[in-house]
Amino acid sequence: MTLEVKDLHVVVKKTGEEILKGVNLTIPTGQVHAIMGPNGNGKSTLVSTIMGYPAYEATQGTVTFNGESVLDKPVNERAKMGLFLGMQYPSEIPGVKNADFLRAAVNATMPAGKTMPVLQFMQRLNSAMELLQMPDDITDRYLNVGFSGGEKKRNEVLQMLMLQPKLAILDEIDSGLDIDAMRIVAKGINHLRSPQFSALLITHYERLLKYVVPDQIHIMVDGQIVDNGGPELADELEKNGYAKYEHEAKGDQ
Amino acid sequence: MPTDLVSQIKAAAHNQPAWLQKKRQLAAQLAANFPDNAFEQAILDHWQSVDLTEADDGQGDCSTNDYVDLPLFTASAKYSELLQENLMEKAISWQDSRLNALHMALLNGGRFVYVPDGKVVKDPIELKVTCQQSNYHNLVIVGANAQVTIVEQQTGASPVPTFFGTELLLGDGAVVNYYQSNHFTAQNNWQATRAYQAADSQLNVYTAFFDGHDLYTDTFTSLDGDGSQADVKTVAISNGHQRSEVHTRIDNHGLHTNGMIQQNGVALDHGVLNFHAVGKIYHGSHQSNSNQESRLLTLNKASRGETDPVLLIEDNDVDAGHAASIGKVDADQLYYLQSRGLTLQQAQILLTKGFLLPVINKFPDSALRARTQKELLDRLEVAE
Ligand SMILES: Nc1ncnc2c1ncn2[C@@H]1O[C@H](COP(=O)(O)OP(=O)(O)OP(=O)(O)O)[C@@H](O)[C@H]1O
Ligand SMILES: [Mg+2]
Repeated sequence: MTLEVKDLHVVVKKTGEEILKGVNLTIPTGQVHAIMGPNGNGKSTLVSTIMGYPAYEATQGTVTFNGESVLDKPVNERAKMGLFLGMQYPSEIPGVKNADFLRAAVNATMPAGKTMPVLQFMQRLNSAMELLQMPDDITDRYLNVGFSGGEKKRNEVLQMLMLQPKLAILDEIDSGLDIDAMRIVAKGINHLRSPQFSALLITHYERLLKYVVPDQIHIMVDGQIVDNGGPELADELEKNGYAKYEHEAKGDQ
Repeated sequence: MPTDLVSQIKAAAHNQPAWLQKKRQLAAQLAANFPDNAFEQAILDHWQSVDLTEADDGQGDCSTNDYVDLPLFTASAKYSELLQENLMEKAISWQDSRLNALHMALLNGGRFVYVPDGKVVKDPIELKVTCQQSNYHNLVIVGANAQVTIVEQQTGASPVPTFFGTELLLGDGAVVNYYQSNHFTAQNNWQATRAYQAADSQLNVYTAFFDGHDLYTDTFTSLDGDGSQADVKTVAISNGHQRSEVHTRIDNHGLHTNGMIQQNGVALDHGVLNFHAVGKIYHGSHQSNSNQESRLLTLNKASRGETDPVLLIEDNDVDAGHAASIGKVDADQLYYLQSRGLTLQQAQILLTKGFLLPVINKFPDSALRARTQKELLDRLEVAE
């Protein structure tokens, strides 16, 4: 289940502004990768395009998962392929109980015509909530409504644990988390690590990558991947920042 | 109205009490004198040749020791005076509109429920009929300090537009919980539910407009007696090419009366759902309250809805307010739900439930609450 992004160009539909300018990225099965990069350089645009966010349009290039084309599929079909995006800004949905939503989502991603038995659902939910140290009443509340920043992030990870995707993309899952919560969230991600599971983490901080050690780190600047490296790349960035890359990007123009 | 119709009514009603025969004939004549209303007209167009057969709900006399529950025509003979005084006089007035007049004239039947003074009826009284004819009418009289729950679940089975009317007359201190969720077969139908309330009476109306055909609803209560209260909670859905005009009105006449309207509705597909709510506080109705809240959610571009809140306040010493909102479903919300594997339809269903359940959850009877929730799910499955 390898994700392959090739020469991906993406524009904002409304304005026509090009945000991604030829992204190349491969995440093989079983690996954890991270993307780092300065603000406003296209990280969220990349992962939102992979998930099918309607504001973006791919004008060139391909995205495949397990050899299957992703970009021509409706959003929900992408989830059924095993893709999961933990969002940077999860929506609040009043009136929809977290638990009802989780159940609907779990059933929606089961093979056609199948539903998960209630007992199995409850067991999975209980153990996931325990792992993430979430209070019981959080599933009785409306989805993300009034959740604190950290609770929202934890709730994204809860959904990931419930849906057990093949590829989890987590967009700044660590922002807004206190140190303990970061450790707990990392535990949630590591819990899924297996030869069949891959992950793509977007983060600004090396701290998360201390707990979830990635196989590779990619640097995105101005809509392109400009560097790749091992976990040590994060330490280097921590020291020197992105100046070197931004310089290069500017020099290109 | 053609004399032809009058003679048809004469023939059909010849077994009924003289006052009722006369009233129906007068109503037929009166009907000709009203101006047109588009929604009414669409119904009237189909009432040119009408079925005047008496509706048989197959239930006969359902009276108990505590209350009377009879077919309307049976009651019109047995409780002649009571019906003569009250049938389409105090709540749904037969002289109010062309449609009301014709409803009176073309009456096919209904139920008469009478709860005597002081009776507290434990089990809900169910108004259930599958009615093959167009004009079905319930008259419910609840005596002073009596208490009762009425559950109306009727089906209009006629392919010709159906007019369901229910009148609720509450005596001093009467307490009535009234639930309604009716269904229809014809393309366009009319639902009138009107109440008249004496002093200190309390009426709670819970209506679910979940039918899939065009519907004009006329829910109205008159807070006539001092200290009377009404609370109307409504949920509605319009989908396909359906059009629903939901009219709700509470008039405050008495001193320190209290009227509350809360309605939530969802329009999807090409559906149109309009909420019209009126609260009127008459001059002299001191220390009265009139509050209303209408919330609409349109789920896609083609669906439409309007809220039309009106407060008519003639008195100074009152508390009145309205809140209205029309929300479009947020594209990011849909995307979020779809990104977890839900189809667009499943996402819409979840959002619809989310929008209507908070009102349904205020229905006090847990069994009826569950039933309404179930009906909502059934309705949404049909939409699927
Ligand atoms: N829907 C949109 N409409 C207009 N501009 C957009 C839209 N989405 C993204 N952009 C622009 O595209 C650029 C990249 O945004 P993106 O959210 O991908 O950045 P990012 O790398 O995730 O940044 P951050 O680290 O701050 O999260 C920004 O300049 C942003 O303003
Ligand atoms: Mg971002």
